[in-house]
Amino acid sequence: MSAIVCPERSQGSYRRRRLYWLGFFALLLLPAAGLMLLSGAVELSSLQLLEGLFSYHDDVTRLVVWEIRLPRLIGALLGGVSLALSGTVLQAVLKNPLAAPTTLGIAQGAAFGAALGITCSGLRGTFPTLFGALTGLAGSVMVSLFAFIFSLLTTGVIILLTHLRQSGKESIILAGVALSSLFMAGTTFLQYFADETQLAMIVHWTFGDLARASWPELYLMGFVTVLATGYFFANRRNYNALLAGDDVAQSLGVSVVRLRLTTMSIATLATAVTVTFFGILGFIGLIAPHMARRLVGSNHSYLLPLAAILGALILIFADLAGQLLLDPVALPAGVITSFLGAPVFLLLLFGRRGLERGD
Amino acid sequence: MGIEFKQLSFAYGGQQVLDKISCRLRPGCVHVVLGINGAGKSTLIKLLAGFLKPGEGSVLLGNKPLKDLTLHQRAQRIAYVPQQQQTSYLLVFDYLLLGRKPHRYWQSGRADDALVCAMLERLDLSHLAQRALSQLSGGELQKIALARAFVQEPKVLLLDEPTSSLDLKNQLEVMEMIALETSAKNLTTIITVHDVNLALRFAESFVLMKDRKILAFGDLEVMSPEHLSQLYGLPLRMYRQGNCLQVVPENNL
Repeated sequence: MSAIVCPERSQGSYRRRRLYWLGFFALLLLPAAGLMLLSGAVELSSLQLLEGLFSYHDDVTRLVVWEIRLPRLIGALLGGVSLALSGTVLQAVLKNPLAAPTTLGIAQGAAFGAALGITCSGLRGTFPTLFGALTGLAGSVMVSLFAFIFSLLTTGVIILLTHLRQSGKESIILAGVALSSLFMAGTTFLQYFADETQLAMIVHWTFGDLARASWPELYLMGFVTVLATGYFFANRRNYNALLAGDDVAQSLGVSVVRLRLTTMSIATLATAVTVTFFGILGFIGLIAPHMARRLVGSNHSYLLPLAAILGALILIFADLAGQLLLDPVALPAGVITSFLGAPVFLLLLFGRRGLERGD
Repeated sequence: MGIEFKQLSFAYGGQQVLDKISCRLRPGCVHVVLGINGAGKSTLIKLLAGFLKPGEGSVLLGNKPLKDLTLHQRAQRIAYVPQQQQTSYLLVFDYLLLGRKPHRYWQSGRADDALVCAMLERLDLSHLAQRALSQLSGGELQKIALARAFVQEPKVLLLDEPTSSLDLKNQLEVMEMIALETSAKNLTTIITVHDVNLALRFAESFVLMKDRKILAFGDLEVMSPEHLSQLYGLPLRMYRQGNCLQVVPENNL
């Protein structure tokens, strides 16, 4: 006896529904981007905005649009996409819904590196022999460099642990928690001995702020994000296969160990670059994949693009909310995303079925 | 395409699990691997699937050594279903499409959709197409996992205890599915099973494994009370009931 509903046709309508969600949120990006370009310290009308974008007349408007607003928007897009995609693929390869750049300790590693960089650049004057090699570097470059090195170091430790414990991938998150607490202790230690200026710099660095990046940094971020996105999309069916278990994935032709290691390296590299330039933007890598999964299910062909779009949207709205909530004080976007993180975490723990079901 | 293994040995760490076993399994036939827990049945399946590398000896697929095939080529020839299925929030339809992955480099197409639909209809599972795997019962999940392996259009089907967590009706239905597909597609199907009676009902060829070796191998005649008593280490008796052979333990151990 055959079923009444033809599965092929209902599968078609199902696919369309998922594409509608994708289209809807992609379109939502346009007004969000417009809003972001319009808001800021200097009042701009939409006409002025267009003038600033496309003409060469007004110097101030052009400067505001091209050197402040546009980098901020592009930073939000790139940061949101790279963090959300990293979270999604980390959850897939570690088979853990809590896997994300922040829960693996990568962000905390970067924060420690930045704190160390700030402290060291202060010490260069006092101990020229010890830090002689670093005198040529500008302070900000050194801070970024240290942040990047330490986030990669965290990454290395986590990948090593994953490789050593093939069977216990679930415990990697616990290792991440341990690492982040270690790095937080290190940061506190540095803060204790820092002078007031350094302390302020260290604390300020940890607030994830989109206003920090300028064009050269965005080019680098863009390059890494495009590469990472390409790799993740090319492997979308392999991530689906992983959902069926490592053995089954291998029997379907997926080189499981290689996929896991490469994915983790690329995801953490993308995260490291974002965190280095923006500071800690908590929980986007956790929230965006879960929201996307709720809307289109676990098939990575739809999950990846939607998570990327949602990540960008969340970051744009977090930045807008930060500017508008306590106007005229502008809160950094990282504060808002971290506020969002708590309720989503709780929802995850207590409303797990609802958040993760297939449809 | 038959499968053959020669002088196959395997050890986990220092512990020898298989010791120079050899066997040739012909296509178009359900082969059942029987033995007590820890006899190395699952290890044998994993060696044949290529997940584990043999310490000694080799596995031949058709005439080619398994180790010479790439992961991708293996996936086109061998389908594997583990004992425990991992549930996820993937839809059944998307899950079945995974079976087409070894045959499509970039993306599955309409032909694959049609194939999956036909398979679901043939197995009378169409009503499950839009459900998430996590919403299925144990029996449904096992059938869907088998359907995924069938969609893969393999030459060799490796099934590790496909009936271990199923009720009687589902056990029979699942075994029926396997036997039908095996004869229809001329597959070399290798199953590990604990239930001797189920094996007697559906299989044509038997591999009895004990103490790291193959105790006996062949058609129905190897399933003698003597062999089985030796295999399970307890006195067994065999009855014929209509067309079916039945094995029961002696009354007093």
